[in-house]
Amino acid sequence: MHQNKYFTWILYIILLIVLLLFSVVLGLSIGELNVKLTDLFRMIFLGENTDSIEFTLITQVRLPRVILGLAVGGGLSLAGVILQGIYRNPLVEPFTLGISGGASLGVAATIVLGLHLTLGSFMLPLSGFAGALLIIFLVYAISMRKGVLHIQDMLLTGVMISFIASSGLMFMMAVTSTENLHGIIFWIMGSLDESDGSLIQLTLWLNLGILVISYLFVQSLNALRLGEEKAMQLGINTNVVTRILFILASLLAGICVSVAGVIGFVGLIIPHLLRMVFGTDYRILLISSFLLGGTFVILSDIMARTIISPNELPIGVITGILGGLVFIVLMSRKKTRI
Amino acid sequence: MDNTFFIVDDFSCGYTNFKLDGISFKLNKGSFTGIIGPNGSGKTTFFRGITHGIPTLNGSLLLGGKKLSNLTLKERARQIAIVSQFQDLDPIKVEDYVLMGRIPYQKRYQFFESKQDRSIANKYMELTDVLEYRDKLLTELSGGELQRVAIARALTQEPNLLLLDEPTSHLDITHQVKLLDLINRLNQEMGLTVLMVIHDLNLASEYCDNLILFDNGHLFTQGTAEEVLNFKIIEEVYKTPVITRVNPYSNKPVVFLVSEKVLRSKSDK
Repeated sequence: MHQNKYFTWILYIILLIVLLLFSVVLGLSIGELNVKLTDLFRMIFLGENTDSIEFTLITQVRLPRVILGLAVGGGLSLAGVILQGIYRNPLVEPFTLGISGGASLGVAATIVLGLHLTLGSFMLPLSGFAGALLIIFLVYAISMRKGVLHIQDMLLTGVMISFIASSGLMFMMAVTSTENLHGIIFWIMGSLDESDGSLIQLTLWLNLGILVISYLFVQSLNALRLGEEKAMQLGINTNVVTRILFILASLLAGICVSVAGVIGFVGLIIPHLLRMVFGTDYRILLISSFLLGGTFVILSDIMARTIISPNELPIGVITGILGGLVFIVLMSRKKTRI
Repeated sequence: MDNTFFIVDDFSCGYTNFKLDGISFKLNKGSFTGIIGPNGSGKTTFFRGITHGIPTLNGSLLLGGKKLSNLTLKERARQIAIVSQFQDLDPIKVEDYVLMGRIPYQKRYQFFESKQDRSIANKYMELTDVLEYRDKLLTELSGGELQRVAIARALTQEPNLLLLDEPTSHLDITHQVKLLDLINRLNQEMGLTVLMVIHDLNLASEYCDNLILFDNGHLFTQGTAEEVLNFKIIEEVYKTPVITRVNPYSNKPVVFLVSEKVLRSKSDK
């Protein structure tokens, strides 16, 4: 019985890894210049033609994008699934709580003030992250009363602060120069085009680290499916656990949005799809969300790069349209409530 | 021999707008006690106080000689299990839900249930006759089935004290009797100490050894069904006229309500 369930899980995880590897290979070979799969394998595994343009293109341009896609897609869907768990609400996503608004505001402020020009381009992700953290801290502080975190209040507070942040953003966009405006819009729409290799690596390792840490709380997430009070009656210190999980999810979303901009919908649709397959057990949902989220963003990025090549579409456009369509099709086929 | 198992000593809990004040009583090991009282008298609040859902203001709870406030949440969950009403259910498999009763015994990083966990869950699913639903979702079960599944989960916690919060509400009389018979069997055969909040005075009379009557945040009186279900006491607390008789089959007191309609027609004659 149970061995059976775990066996199925392992099969699915292997399947998801294969899917991910497949999307990585596609991501490396497809583009303005298509590289044949056989050539790709020869270059990577046999070390042939390593002085060719293709090799440089693959390792210097496409590989960093694919890795960032994996890190950001995985991170955003993991953040989504964790938040949906603590709020017991499948419609919450990482950006519901104002994290994207805060990050956008931070980045916009940097661009308007020209800090990225004077201090260096690292200011963009840094200010995005700072903005996200500031918003999280605000939401957290407002929802805290007498040492108890009112978790459901946070949702409403987050949505409200989101509105305020986006109004602030619009204000900045209204008063700044056209050139800055372009920079802000470009950043907000999201892109995996990041030139700093060490930043990409940092993003991947941080997100993988949080994935591992989140598994320490997987039992609590499962118990929270019964509601906070019932989880507490089973011995889960919900007051502490929900705070830690909230911080983990916020960090994930903050990291992703500060490196790649606002890539919407991933944190909503991927966990939802997986719930249709696996049910609500977080032991499988956490890892599978990370894997499928990464795959989804890598594939979306391929489309973003190729559809109007040589120009590039914002990846947020692709994830939104693709995700929304898949979602509607699946929902209309499914009769029962998730 | 002193058989006292659970001691509630001058216990107060709650918030400023509603609190329970100065509750004191003792339960013997293996006893079956009912808490009755009007709506808003603090019955469910008391359970919340015991399970640490709301802050304790004063007094103490002693279980088997140990102070509950000194136990960690997991230690507490190994001692006390509670069956309360479900609100907005998640689609969780019955077997997975029952296995959650093992959480108090599991380590934080334990991802998979042990063989022992599974056999304990199995045993109690069999005892409560829900084994056939193991692969169903909670959302697919009827009210009576849900209660039995919840009891299986509570027993899987292997507690020393079982709390039940209105287990028979929303059930028809067949399922009410079946469920309380089951709880009675657990009490008799496993020696489990049971404390149950129940609205129905006649079911309380029929099944409980002792009754505790709450009124407006205080403990009004306690004793056997014969002592507590006295019409004077019930009329004073519930503020409605009643008649009490004795069930000819079980010799337990039965409370009949008196409607205004009948009162009027009687006084006309």
